[in-house]
Amino acid sequence: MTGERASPAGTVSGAGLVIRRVTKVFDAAGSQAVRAVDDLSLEIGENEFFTLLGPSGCGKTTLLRMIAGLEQPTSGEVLLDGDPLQGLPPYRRPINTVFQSYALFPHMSVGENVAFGLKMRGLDSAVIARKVEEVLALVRLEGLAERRPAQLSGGQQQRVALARALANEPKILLLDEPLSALDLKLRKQMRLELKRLQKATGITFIFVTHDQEEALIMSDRVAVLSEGRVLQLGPPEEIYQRPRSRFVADFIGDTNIILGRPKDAERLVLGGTAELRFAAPVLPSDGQDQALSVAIRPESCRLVNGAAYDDLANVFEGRVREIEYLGADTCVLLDVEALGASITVRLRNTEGAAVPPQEGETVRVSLPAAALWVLEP
Amino acid sequence: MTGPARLSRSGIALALGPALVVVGLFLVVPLLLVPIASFMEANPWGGVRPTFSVEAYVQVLFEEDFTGELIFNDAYPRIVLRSLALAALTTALCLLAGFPVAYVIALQPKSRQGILLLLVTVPFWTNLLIRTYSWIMILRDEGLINNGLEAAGVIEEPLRLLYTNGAIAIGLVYTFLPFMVLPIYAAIERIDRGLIEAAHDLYANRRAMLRHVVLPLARPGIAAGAILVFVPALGSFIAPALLGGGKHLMIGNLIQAQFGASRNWPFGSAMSLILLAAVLAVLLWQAQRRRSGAWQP
Ligand SMILES: Nc1ncnc2c1ncn2[C@@H]1O[C@H](COP(=O)(O)OP(=O)(O)OP(=O)(O)O)[C@@H](O)[C@H]1O
Ligand SMILES: [Mg+2]
Repeated sequence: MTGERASPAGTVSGAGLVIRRVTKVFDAAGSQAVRAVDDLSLEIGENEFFTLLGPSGCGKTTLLRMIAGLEQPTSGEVLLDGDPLQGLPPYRRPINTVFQSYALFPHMSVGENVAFGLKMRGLDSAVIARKVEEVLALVRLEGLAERRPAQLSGGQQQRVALARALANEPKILLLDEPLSALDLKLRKQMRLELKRLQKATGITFIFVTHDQEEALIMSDRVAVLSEGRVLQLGPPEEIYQRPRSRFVADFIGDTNIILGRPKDAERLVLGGTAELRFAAPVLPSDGQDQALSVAIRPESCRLVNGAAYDDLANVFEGRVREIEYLGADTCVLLDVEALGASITVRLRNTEGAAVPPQEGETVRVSLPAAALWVLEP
Repeated sequence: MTGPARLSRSGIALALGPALVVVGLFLVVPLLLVPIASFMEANPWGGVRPTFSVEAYVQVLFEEDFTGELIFNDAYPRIVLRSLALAALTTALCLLAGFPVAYVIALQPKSRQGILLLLVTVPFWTNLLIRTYSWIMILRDEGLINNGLEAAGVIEEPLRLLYTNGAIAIGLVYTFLPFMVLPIYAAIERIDRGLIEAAHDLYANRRAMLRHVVLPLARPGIAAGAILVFVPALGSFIAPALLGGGKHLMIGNLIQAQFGASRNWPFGSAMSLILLAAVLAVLLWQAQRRRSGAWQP
């Protein structure tokens, strides 16, 4: 018997979930086979809030379903605390899922829905009753136990789905875009609640989303997926501040991208004579003729007036093409001839901040060397 | 989505008119003739004599002895009870056999479901009489089963299979099974697969999943199938006539005989009304149970 019951937390090395070179190919009869997950490896620690972030169709749901046991990998293996889960049906895995569509049982009350997993495990009915009450309180649904799912709002249904999974105290909770059906306000509130629940219960959360903001707010670590592969893995700050590839940079937040060729390890030549200085020797100096993409976040760019600045400020002239007022911020879109690119500058609208320029005006923009980084080709 | 288009009153009358005429002429009028006929005297050459009489209803429970006094005769009540029992047995067997079939079909890929459903209806393509006759070939003393068992050395004397209540039940189940399979299939097919996966995810093995998720959600289909099987089974007369060998009559045979050889239309009409009452009673009981039951759509 492989370990379906909890072993003492965090004692064995290799505790947590290990996904080792997992591939899933769907052979649709008649059409081309789809490689939904492609040779993917991940290690997810205990008590971690781990997020899978990626565009639609990148294999997030498929990966979750393989962890849950609802789908079998074509190759590779999934291990929990060192034991392979291969061949273990979903109902023997200490893993529960909050489904994208909630999948609440329509013929059962909220209480019966939440009790379902406990009942299936043959727990004592008094224990079940207590647990149901406790979990419903945890998701703030006290007093709704008698209702049917159809009599609840979307947000309440979502919390029932969460309670139903949480009640079992699984080792791992899989959440497949659980917030996507909620309106913005409720979504924001639920983000915090999910984070709070994860900390309170100590359960590993594997959270799927294609909303980058959601991923950044809640996660301990984020894996950015594309076409069934992990493009980048790391804590939210790292993913946001130093996306390695153009795909990740574009997917997470707005990014200015500048093309050029390295002159030496610290300088990039742009089009004509203009140069972009770096704070450290980060450029590959061997392949001289290789085009490189360099990125900078709009909020790192600055508009400078006559103020003094040094070489590392990388100041260029640009014409304002568009102004976008966002409430807290204002975005200024500039055409910068020297860079051969458009640059977006994001300004805070704080009290006493400089008045943003007008469309058509010529301004000077600074791309601080410390905020620049090189993208992988 | 737009709501249904509104019709004016005259439009409604125009649209429903033809249907109402057909239903009125061919359903309501004949149905009214039945109770009228049941309160008349039988004409020995068929038809009725227009004289009021409750003779037909008396006949259901009593017969005249040689002195002309009425004594209780349980022959007809027994036929009614046997009919109810056989119809209930048929319904139960159809459910047992039909549910797994419906479940398996509903879980197939969409493309295959159509073919399988077509196969379920294949028996309808030939005449019921012929299909029931073929069961005689299978069940009789020198039939397929007995010959087969004898050849295999399992039995020496042929088993009594034909002309039993069991034979009637087999014939009825065979006849009405599709009426059970189709509505249950429709109900299961509508169940979100996600619910089945959710049940598995919540530690329910296949059996528990079937019991706690599929079965309750298929209940409307089961109820519809039960009615579709029970009602015609109760009034059927071909299977008991051919497979019951005239010894095991059902209500349908009795009624049919009154309008045929026995030439007792009032009695036949009275029995028809009793059959109707039995069906209505069962339907009301079902509806009552569903209303008070826990399940609500
Ligand atoms: N059962 C299946 N049969 C065939 N192809 C499938 C099946 N399930 C998923 N796919 C394909 O695998 C790929 C990944 O699908 P998946 O559902 O994992 O994407 P996802 O990342 O969850 O997307 P979304 O954000 O839209 O939910 C898609 O191209 C999809 O069409
Ligand atoms: Mg998905």
